[in-house]
Amino acid sequence: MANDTFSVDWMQGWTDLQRKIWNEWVAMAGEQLHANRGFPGIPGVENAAQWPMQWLQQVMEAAGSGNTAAPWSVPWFQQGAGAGPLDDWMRSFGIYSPETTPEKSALANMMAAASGFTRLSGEIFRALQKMGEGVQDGSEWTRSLDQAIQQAKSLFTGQDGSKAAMDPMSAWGQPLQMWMGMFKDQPLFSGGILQAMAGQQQSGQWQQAAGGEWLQKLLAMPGLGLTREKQERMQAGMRDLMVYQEAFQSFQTLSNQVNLRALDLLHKRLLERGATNKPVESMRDLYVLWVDCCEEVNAEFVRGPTFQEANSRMVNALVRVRHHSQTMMDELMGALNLPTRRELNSSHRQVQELKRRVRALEEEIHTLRTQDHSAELRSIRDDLDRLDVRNLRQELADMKSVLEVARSSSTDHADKKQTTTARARVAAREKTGSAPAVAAAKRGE
Amino acid sequence: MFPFSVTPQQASEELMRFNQKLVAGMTSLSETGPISAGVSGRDAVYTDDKLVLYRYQSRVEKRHRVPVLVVYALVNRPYMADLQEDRSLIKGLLDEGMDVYLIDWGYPDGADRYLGLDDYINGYVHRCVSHICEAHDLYRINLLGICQGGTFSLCYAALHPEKVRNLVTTVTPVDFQTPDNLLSRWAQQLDVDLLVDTMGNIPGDLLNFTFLSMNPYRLTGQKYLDMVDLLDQPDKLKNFLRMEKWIFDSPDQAGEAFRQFIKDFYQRNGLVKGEVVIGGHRVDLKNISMPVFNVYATLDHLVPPAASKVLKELVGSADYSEFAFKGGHIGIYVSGRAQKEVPPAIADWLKARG
Repeated sequence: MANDTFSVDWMQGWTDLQRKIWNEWVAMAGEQLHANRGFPGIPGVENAAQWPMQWLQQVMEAAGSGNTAAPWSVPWFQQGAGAGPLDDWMRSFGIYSPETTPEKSALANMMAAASGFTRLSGEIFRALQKMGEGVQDGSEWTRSLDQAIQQAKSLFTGQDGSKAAMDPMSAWGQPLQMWMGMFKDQPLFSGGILQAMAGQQQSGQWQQAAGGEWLQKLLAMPGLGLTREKQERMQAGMRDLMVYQEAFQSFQTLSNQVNLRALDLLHKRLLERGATNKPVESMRDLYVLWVDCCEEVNAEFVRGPTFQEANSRMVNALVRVRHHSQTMMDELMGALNLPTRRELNSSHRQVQELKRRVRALEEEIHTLRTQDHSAELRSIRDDLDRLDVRNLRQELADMKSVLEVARSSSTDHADKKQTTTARARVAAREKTGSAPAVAAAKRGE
Repeated sequence: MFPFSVTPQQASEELMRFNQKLVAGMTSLSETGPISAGVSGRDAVYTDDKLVLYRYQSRVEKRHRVPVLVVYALVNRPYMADLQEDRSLIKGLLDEGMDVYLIDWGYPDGADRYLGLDDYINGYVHRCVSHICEAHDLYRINLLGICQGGTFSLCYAALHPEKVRNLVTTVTPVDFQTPDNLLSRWAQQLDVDLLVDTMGNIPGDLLNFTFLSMNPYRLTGQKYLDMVDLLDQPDKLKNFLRMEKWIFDSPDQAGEAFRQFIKDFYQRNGLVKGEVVIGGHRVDLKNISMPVFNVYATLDHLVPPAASKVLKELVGSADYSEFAFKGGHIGIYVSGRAQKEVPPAIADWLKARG
């Protein structure tokens, strides 16, 4: 195959150009940083403005010395720098505070991504240099590419494999960080302990370090005496921890395979590009290609039952550990006569139940208040109509007139009086007993 | 051919430009100011615990007679439906003359741990619907559900069909176990009882992590590398940060509601099987007799189209329509094309049904 790109003395060209560009960059960046950012009087970050310069200085020195690893060790990009240089640097730019805002978290993510990109670029440069050396020696570039891929793979399988696997671009670091975050408020089983446990990559290493078989036997021993129950709970907690560690290691091993298989796929894609005359034209192009490969492999991986089982086992095991620690914490709090989570939960549950009852009552009252009473009203009106008040008045007037007639004739016709009164009473009774009938009689019906 | 055409000079220049942008962008990033979201004018018309019911101010002279209540998911915040001036489903609906109400669930805390689906659906949603009905002297209104809020709307419409005049569901999961549903696969073996019993409320960050895990390299790496290119474009940077804010502004999930949702919907697929019971009543989608408009996204990786489209076979309505948007789960609300397609489609469908 043609070694066209390496037909010139790549190594010499690289060194010369690098030196030239870095020189210009040093001047440019230094001017900007010194002009705009002084960071005076900020404890611990007095020299922060110099960090980019230090990096450039390293680049310069590395370019001269041939040490190509150093230039990529940017202070604020260093793995594990954590809350050190990066945070200080962010603070120095006035965009750091404990509160998380979109721009701040985005900045942190952006810096992490930039770090990944820069580190990747460093690896690529190193690989290209080696390939250049290989080509100079007369080797084919395909073999050099293969070697470069194998070299990259060693990042995930070597001594520091766990670190690389967990942080190829901060992605795989998240499961650990996220789940560990759940333990921040659990002093008995702090994230630090779990982190240390989970960080042991060799299977069984932690158990061995802690006493291996001895520990297993200890955990299997029955408790005795006054603290028997507590002993058993502690043993159960330790067993949960060991189950979690094992589950975590399985998950991490699987995750590592994604990175390895993604590199295989990248290798394949690069060969395809070579075969189809579509070479990678920029560092970014290569980065995106690598991300595509990672996502492609990851998509297949996470859809499979193996991942689902490993992921569930890890999550469930970790939650079980927390559950246990929470129970222990509750015991401790109870012993100190302080409120426990269990008590709070009971209160919350009762409050919620009361709220439901109140809501139900409120709704009932509301329904009663807004109920449609029109049918009842109609019924009452019908009853009133049936009473025929107008005719009752007429009837009363008639009775009065009958009584007056009776009174006036009482002196003249003493004998007739009783008869008339009796008739009037009968008539009144009839009218009172059946008002509508009287009314009808009056209407001549 | 050698697969790299990058010369040392080109590579160096590229990295130099990248770092220049990065350094220069720090200043512009620190000057972006607060990131706000939610652009349409609105009034809080009803509150219920942490819930706030908003009515959006009209943008036309005469509003549509029947109001539409937007029921958002419990996951993330509802301002996604009104993200910014040129990306707002709400604004689109208002421009079409709709009278829009929206439920903002707020941020549940420890005191809300025992809120169940009954409390959410037969409680909060029902009281909001009743409030709107009383305010408008109507017996039933239109409902528009978004994602999980769509599932809630389906449950509500099935349990209270007399209160819903027309039902619109958008990117709504119905069949929770379609083969392409990655979230569902992950949820199957999760010991959700242990999780809720241990955690109480489920942290929003945990859900975010789950969503990010679906495309971890792109969403935690490449996306932020691309952000460097936006640092010198203030407007685009602000849009990026606004979306970033929405993605990570994730309320915790009330424990009991989460437990029930995962178990009954994801693990048992109860909505499709007609086995979900809420407040003592079985949710039977056949009870949904009102007109239904089902909007889904063809490239949705969270709620695959098949998970939504199955609704057609399950509802009792004789008036069922679908609208397929060529985009993703979020793009259906915030993409430029969505603004032209989705709100008018919904509004036209509602207007045609009075």
